[in-house]
Amino acid sequence: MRPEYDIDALARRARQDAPPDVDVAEAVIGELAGWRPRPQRIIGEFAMAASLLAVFVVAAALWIQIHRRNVQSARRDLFGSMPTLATTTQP
Amino acid sequence: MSVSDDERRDIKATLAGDGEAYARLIRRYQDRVARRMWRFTRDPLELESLVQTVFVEAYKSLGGFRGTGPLEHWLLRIATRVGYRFWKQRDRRRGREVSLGEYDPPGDVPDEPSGAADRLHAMLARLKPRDRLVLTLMYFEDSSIAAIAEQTGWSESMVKVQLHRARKRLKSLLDNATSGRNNT
Repeated sequence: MRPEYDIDALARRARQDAPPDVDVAEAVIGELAGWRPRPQRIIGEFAMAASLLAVFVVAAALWIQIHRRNVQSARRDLFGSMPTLATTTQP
Repeated sequence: MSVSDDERRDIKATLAGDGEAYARLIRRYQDRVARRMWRFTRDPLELESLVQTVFVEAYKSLGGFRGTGPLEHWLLRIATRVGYRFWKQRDRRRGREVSLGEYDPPGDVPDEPSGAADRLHAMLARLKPRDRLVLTLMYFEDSSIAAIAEQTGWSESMVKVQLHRARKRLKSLLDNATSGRNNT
């Protein structure tokens, strides 16, 4: 039988390996010159308010449309059978 | 452990545009981030570039840091994401570094930690980035399932499945390599 490779032993030793020293502070600050972190929470709240407003506007438009149709159909129910002025004036 | 008062002050000052405050945060955490990125590359130049990318990305999303957990954990999540993306991009660019045919099967565990890390890195480099990521966090960082889930943003059950598959693939890779060596 072939012995299995002891990867756990390899990992235990590999974990002790340390990286070379790095100092990136200046490079990062240089790269970010002129940048400001985005205030994501404010943008998030603004986006939520804008989408609520959009939903409200769409709902209002739909309500007006339905209301207008109801008025038109009620008018047809009331006056739909009556002859119009144009037909009564014909000889 | 949560965010200290000093850190909170530095984060606030950074958000107000104080570069020196951010430099203090970088100096506090760059060694820890470098340690994590050293699991993603063995090239010191690439390491520096990756650490830099982590702090640039952290700065750009610092406004979203809630401060409910340690800043270190938040930075390491970004570092893991940056490292994973680095592997995926490199894979797309040039394919896996060495094909299986060229793979030198492992012998005894090297005495030096850097030799062991080189070998483990080379072994995991044969795998796809997804498999490689879970095994890297498990073997190199000794992370638990919960910690891997937190660092990758995957669910714990997904990490378990991924670990199972990745281990299986690594085992078959090692078996093939060892049998190849025994046959020659």
